[in-house]
Amino acid sequence: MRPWKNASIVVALAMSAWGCGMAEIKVFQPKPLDNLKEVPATDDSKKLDAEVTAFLRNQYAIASARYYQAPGEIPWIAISKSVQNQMAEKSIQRTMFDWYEPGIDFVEVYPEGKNAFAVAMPTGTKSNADKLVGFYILSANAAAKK
Amino acid sequence: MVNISASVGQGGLNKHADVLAIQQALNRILPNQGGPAPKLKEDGLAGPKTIGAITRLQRANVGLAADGRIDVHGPTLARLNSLLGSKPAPQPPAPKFTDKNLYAPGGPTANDIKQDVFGDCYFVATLGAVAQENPKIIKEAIYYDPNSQQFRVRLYDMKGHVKYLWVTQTELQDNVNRQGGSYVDNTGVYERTWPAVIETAYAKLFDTNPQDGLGEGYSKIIKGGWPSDAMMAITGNAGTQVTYHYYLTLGTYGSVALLGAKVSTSLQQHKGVTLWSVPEVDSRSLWQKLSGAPIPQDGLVDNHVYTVVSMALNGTDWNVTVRNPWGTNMGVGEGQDTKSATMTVSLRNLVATGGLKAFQVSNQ
Repeated sequence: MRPWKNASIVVALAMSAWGCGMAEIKVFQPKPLDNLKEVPATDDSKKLDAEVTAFLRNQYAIASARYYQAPGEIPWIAISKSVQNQMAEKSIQRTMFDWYEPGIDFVEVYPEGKNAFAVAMPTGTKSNADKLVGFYILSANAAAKK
Repeated sequence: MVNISASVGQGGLNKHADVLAIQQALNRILPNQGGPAPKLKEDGLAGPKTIGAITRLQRANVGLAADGRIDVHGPTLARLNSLLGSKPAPQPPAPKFTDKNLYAPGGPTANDIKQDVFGDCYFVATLGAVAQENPKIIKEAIYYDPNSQQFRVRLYDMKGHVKYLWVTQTELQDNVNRQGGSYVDNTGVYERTWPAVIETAYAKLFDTNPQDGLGEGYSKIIKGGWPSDAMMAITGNAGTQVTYHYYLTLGTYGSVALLGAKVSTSLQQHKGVTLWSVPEVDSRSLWQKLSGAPIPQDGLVDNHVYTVVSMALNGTDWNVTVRNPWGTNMGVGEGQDTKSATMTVSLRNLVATGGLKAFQVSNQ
C-alpha cells in the first residue's frame, strides 16, 4: 500500500472526528412558558440529567441542557402542552418509547433527524408542587444505532 | 385458626355457624391443653357440654376467666387460636375507593376533574361536560361491588358496543400514583373519586394485557383523541359536532349569533358540550406584520378541549364560559393566565381569531 494514501486516510479520519466533535447539534428548541424562570445547573439538575440518561436507554445522549424552575401553580400538563404545540407548528411529533410509563416517567422526546429535543421533570414530582424542568438537546447515540 | 361473628357459650349469641366452628376448634385441642375429653359432638348447638368444654379450656390456661364464653375479640379466642397454631387473620384494610366517596354531596360535576399530567383532555373534559349536564349518565356507568371491592364501569368502544370493565383497588391507586384526572392525588383525600374510576376503566379498555399493569392503556389514551371518541366512550353516542358556518344572509355577527344560540339551546336541554380549541390563524394585515404586531390570541390553550359551562348572550355576541380540565388556567401562555379553572371568552373573537375548531354536543 502506498504510504501517502495511508496518510491521507488518517488525516481524513482525524478531520472527520474533529468535525463531529465540534459540530453544533441543531434542533428546534421551543420557548419555555413565561412563568418559568431559568436557573443554573445544580445537584438537582444533575440528578435530573441522570434520570433522563437512564430513561433514554442509550438511544440518545444529552448534548446540552437548560433548566427552569416552575411554580406549583403551573401544572406539568401546561408545560408539556406548550412544548407539544410549538413542536406541532414545526410538524415535529413526540415519540413514545415502549418502556415509557405515563405519569411516572416525565421525559418527552421529540426526534428531529438523528437528534432530538426533550423536556423533562424529575420522577415523583407532584404536579402542583414547585418543579425543576429541563430542556434538553439530545444527540443520536452512535453505539445504540449500530 | 377460627373466626366467629358473635360470642359463643354461656350467655352468648350462639349462632349455629359460630358454635360449630368453636366445637370443631375445641376438638383439635389436646386434653392436656384443655381440650374436651371425650370430644364434643359437632352439631352447632351450645349445650352444657360445649359450655363445659369452653370452661375447661379456660381453667387449663392461666389468665383466662372461666366464664364459659368465647367473645369475638376476647382472650379465650386468642388463646384457642394460639393453641391451634395460628393467630386470627388480620382484618383486610378498608378499601380506599368505595361507593361512599365517589361523589360530593351534589353528585358528579365538572369541578371534580383535575388533569395534571396525562394528555387526555379530550376525555376528561368530556367527562366533565357529561357530569355537568347529565350526571345520571355518570352515576349509571359506575357500580361498586362491596364483596370484591371492585368497580364495574360501563363504557363503549369506538363502534358503540357496550363494554363492562372491572377496576380493582390496586388499579385505582395506580391511577392516583400516576396523577390521573381526579383531585385525589392533589389533596390526598379520597373523595370525589369517580374521575379516577372512569379514567382507569378507559385506560383498561385500550390495554391488551391489563395483568401487567395499565401503562400500555395510558400510553394509548394520552396520545390524543377526538372529542367525538370520548363522547362515544362515555355515552355510547359520538354526539354532534357543531362548527361555525358563515351565512351570507346573516353576515358575520348573525352567523356567530346563530352558532351561539345552537350551543346555548343544547345546554338548556342538559346536553354536555365541549369546546375544541386550535391555534389562531394569522389574520394580520401586511402592515401589522411589518410592524411586528402579534397574532391576535383568544386566551385559550391551543389544541385543547374544554368543558363548556355556560353560554350568555352579550349584545350580538355570546360569552362562552369554559372550564379548563387542568383545574386552572395558569400556564396557558396567551397572556390571560388566571388561577380560576373557568374562563369566559367571546364567541365572536373565537371565530375571528380562528381559535375555535368545533363544539361537540352530546346527543343525550
